[in-house]
Amino acid sequence: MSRARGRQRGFTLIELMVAVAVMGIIVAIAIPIFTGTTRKAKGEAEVKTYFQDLRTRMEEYQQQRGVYPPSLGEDAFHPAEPTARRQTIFPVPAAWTAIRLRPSGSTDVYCGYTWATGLAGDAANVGALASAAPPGGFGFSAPATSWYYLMARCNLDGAPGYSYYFTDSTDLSIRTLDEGS
Amino acid sequence: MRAAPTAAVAIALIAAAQGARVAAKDERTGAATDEPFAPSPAAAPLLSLGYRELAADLLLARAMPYLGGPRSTAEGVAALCEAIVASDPQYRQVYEWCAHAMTLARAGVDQRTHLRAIALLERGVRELPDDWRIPYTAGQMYLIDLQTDDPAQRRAWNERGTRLIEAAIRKPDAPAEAATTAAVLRTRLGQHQRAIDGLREMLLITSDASARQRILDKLAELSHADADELAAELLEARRRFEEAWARDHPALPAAMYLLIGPRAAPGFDPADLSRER
Repeated sequence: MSRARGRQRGFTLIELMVAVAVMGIIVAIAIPIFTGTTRKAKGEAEVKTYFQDLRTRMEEYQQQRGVYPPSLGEDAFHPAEPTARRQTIFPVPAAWTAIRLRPSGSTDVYCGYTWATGLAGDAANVGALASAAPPGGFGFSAPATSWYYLMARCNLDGAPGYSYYFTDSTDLSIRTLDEGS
Repeated sequence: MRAAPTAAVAIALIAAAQGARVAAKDERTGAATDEPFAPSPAAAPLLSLGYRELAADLLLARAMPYLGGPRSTAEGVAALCEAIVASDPQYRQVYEWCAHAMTLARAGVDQRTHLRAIALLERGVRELPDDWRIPYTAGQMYLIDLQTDDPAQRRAWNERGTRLIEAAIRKPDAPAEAATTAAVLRTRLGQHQRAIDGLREMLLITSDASARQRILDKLAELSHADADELAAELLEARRRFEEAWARDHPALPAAMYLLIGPRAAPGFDPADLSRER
């Protein structure tokens, strides 16, 4: 009888604390990985949405006026400083209003956006990041038609250094560049 | 029982070692992708055991870190997304996210992926007919993402994309100014009159003053007409339309025309709206 009661005595406080500590360590490792990758997935989907909206507006503007909208350049990201938390796009810059960009996605964004445009063969507005050869840049050179490129700057992990996303009028793919990688 | 903490630590260490072993193997073999488990769309509702919304949430919780991770494939994201919408077809937020997510996977994105993304959005259009963003996104994908060298196929996709964007701008909360986008797309398809008809219809039913002015300017440009004369003509047409509407549907605002009125385009004539029934 006494042996049977001995087997039923349950866990000690130390055992429970150690088990909870182990679970805590595992959760502490898993949660940042989960939230980080989730944020990255949301951020990249946002970039795709904004790039599509911008493409639609660029083409509409070009069809109406014969030229793409004025170039903003690589120093005109809006919002200027992306963070790991979403920011509102309001107040919207005049350049966005001019092309009547009405985002079909959320108006709270992870990333900042800008664009550059130019005439056929004219590389004057091509920024340093766009023109630099990979892996330090996107290797963009002005094509023989009127052109634009779109760029997004994100900081989805909150660490120093940005991630850049790039697409242009001649190539629909979205290219990525992680600063420091 | 004192072995319990030791066992827990041992399990954690074994799991970590297993993870490291898999990572090292991937590095050796160059494996850069990973296919997650996702039930087929037919099986997903059954596997949810009736908890469809919970199953959809769990699958989305799996899909997001999978896409954000370094080894995602278009097939993996598409399979998860198709299982999500099969589990909960009314899950409004996932349609647009999934359509973009499929095409953002690290590997395996091709034309088939875009077609699967569009198929998902087209299902969303059917499931959630009051949502303007789903058809708008689908229209953009038809117009922008799908690539072909076949002119007939290109035209068919442009036609479908334009039709979806036209449908989107007639839904609640859609930006009225997107009507000019649809008009530009119609013009590009060589359908000048349909572009004009669409703009006239939007002018009659939008109450946003700034959007109306932009639509009016675009309409004047397309019709080669004076904007002031057009405005006067359309103001009169709108007055007749609202009178007729108030007579036929005294309890309903005129904006309800969008939901229960006759299908206007193609061949829309504002005078039809004020005709006696």
